[in-house]
Amino acid sequence: MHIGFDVSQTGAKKAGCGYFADAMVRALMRIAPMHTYALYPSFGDFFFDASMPLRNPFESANVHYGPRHLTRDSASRFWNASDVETALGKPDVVQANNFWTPPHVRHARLIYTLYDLSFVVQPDWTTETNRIGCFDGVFRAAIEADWIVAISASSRRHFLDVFPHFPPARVRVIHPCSRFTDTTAEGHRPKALAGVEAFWLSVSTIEPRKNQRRLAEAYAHYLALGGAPMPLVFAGGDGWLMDDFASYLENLGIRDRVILTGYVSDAELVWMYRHCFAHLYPSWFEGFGLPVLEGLQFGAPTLASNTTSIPEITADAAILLPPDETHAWTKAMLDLVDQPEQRERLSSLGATRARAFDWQQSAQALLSLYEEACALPKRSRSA
Amino acid sequence: MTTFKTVVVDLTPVLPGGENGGAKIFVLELVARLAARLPQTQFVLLTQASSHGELACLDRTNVRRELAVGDADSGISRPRLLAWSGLLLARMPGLVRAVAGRLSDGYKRMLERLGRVSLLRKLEADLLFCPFTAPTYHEQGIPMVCTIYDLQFRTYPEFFTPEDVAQRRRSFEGACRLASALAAISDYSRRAALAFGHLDEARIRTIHLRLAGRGVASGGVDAIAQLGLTRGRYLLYPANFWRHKNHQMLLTAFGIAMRTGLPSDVKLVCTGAPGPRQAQVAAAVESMGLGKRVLMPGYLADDLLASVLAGAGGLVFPSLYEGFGLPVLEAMVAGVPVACSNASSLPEIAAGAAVMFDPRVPSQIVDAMLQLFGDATLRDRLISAGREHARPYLDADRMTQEYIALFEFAVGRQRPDDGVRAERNAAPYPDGAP
Repeated sequence: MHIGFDVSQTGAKKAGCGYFADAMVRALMRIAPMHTYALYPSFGDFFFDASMPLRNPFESANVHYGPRHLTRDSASRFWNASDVETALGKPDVVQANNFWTPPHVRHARLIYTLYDLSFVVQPDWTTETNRIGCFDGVFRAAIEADWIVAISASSRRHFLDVFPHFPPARVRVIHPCSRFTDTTAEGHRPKALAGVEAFWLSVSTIEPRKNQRRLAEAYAHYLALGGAPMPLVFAGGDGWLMDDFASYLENLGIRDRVILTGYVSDAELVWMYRHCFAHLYPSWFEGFGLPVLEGLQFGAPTLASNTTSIPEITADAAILLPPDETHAWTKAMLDLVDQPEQRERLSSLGATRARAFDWQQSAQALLSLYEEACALPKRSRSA
Repeated sequence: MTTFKTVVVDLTPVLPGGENGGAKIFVLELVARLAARLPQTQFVLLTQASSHGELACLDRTNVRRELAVGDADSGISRPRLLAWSGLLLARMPGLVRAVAGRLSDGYKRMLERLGRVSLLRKLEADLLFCPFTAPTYHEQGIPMVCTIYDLQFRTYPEFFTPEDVAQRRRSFEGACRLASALAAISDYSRRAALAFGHLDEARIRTIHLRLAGRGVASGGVDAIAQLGLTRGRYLLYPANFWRHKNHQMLLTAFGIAMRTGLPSDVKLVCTGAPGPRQAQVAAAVESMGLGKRVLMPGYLADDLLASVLAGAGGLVFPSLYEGFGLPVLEAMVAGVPVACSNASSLPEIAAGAAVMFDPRVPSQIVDAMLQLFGDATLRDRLISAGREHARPYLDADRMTQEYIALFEFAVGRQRPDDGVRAERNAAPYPDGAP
């Protein structure tokens, strides 16, 4: 099989989508070295990153790289051309990973990664430009893709609800896995936490969808009710629309109890997961929720939202709470302080649960999907 | 009342056929009414070659056309030169194009100016009216009035080519800088113009498009049966297939509604001119298995469209952006209940007499569609509220008078600073507008 794979988002500034593509393609190439791979550092005209992966980290006989484009315009012309498949060397499979759908894939099997459809539920969680690009891409996938890879059963269900014409048998769930392959790693204490003994941890970009405001309220209430005065650490860079988060914390009277670390390195994350009192993840909406899985992996007792994909990750290895009920979070935090045995139990359950997510398994599932896709006709030619 | 001896109207942007969309229909109607209302005023319509003949429909004793762009004898017309430079630009990489675009803007302006030195003075214009915004023929000392439609190029630049954005920005900024007075077609557009045009409030007025009677069926045409439709059993969306019209979202919502309670005989009719984008939408309809439920009959002439509108079970209007939204009012006049986007000018135009939805959220569009067909009490309320609300928008005469008052205001502003009135403005003028 000649496999074409979009790696456009796997450059230096990786986010959730980029991690999936990066880890998946590495795992795929490890378990299936007999196939040839074309990795596309530029893919379409929606996501365009001048600092796209510039190096070719996988130099080997069966791997080559697709064209790089210096401008969005030239990328657009290339990827929208009607003969794009010939220009790409006629792959058997093309996997799209950055929301954009190539319009003229007439021979190869087009596999589209669906992360989430949050933008059709609450469009204000992102910018209008981003929303339009995401919706255009998913809509075109609903028309043109042969198969959809959904990163959770929740996303799969949502896609089929929004596009009920799409055959459910061609939407498969393949879970992403943790970035961290060494569960014994100790990590590295962040400078911002120098001298800090116990702390609550919440890992996410600071943005409305991640619901940090309500968590801050719940924490303020927890302190007011006499909860053990451990600081609350928000680990993550600034995302959308949350410029005044620091002043929000001031107004709650807890600015001096909260540590905003900004963007942290992988090693610092690992250390924080290992040493936190608990990991709090109150997100309104997820396609998967990597930080939840990663926290479980390193034994962090976890309190998380009960919505969308999160219960799929945690099963019964976490305490699940409605993201809008701040009093429930306050109570759960107070209870956890009083119940050290509960923390032990969650930590151990979490570590076990995390082992269910394995890149080898996911890559094998994707490979099986490719084989099935090539054995069957394209969707437009089936009954 | 001031008498304008000569009003020059820039109709050079008018293109043949339906390319200008609703703006052309509005402008032609307004010009005819202005001419009828001011029989003592001579109207000179500046035209370009490709639509010069079509605009003969406006000819009257006090209306004549003046071919200003494109000369049959000259061999190379300015529009062709501009088209060539556009083609050349399209082949250059983005960065180069942005710079070249700036240079060519200047080049284009120069070309434009070359052809019309003192045209207004030759025509003895008392006023220049630019109903398509662009102040192309502006000359110092001659009052100018421009109409502002919307600032979509600012809100949704991704829906335009970079050249188009630059051109629209130039037109808008030029109009704001040079016009003595401006008309915005909605309060929404007026506020947007104030925010981005460095205008003072007194200089720009809202003058609504009071042309909602255009869609009234004159009877005798049964397009409904011709199209295989059943009266009352379809939704209509009359819109060209531009991106801001949001057809993909509408199809998505219709696909969901079909499976979540929309009666199985209800169809969706999307009129609008054929072209590459219509073909894309049509392909999506097929792929989504909606071929039997979604009709795309192409561009319908006025009387056919009026017929189809009058027989609709509802108007659905999921546009992401509008400067006004005349089809909403036309539906209300026709007694058709409306489900409408809440974006841009639409809340102002629908004013509570429609079911509103966020056009970015398919489930809200689904709910609105289901309400239109599932709730008879609501339907009746919408129909009667809509008729009541839309009535003032039938008063095209009022709109004409508002433009005349604006013209008078513009001429008054152009007076010399020492307060001495120019001879041609001998009589005082009422400026009753707020």
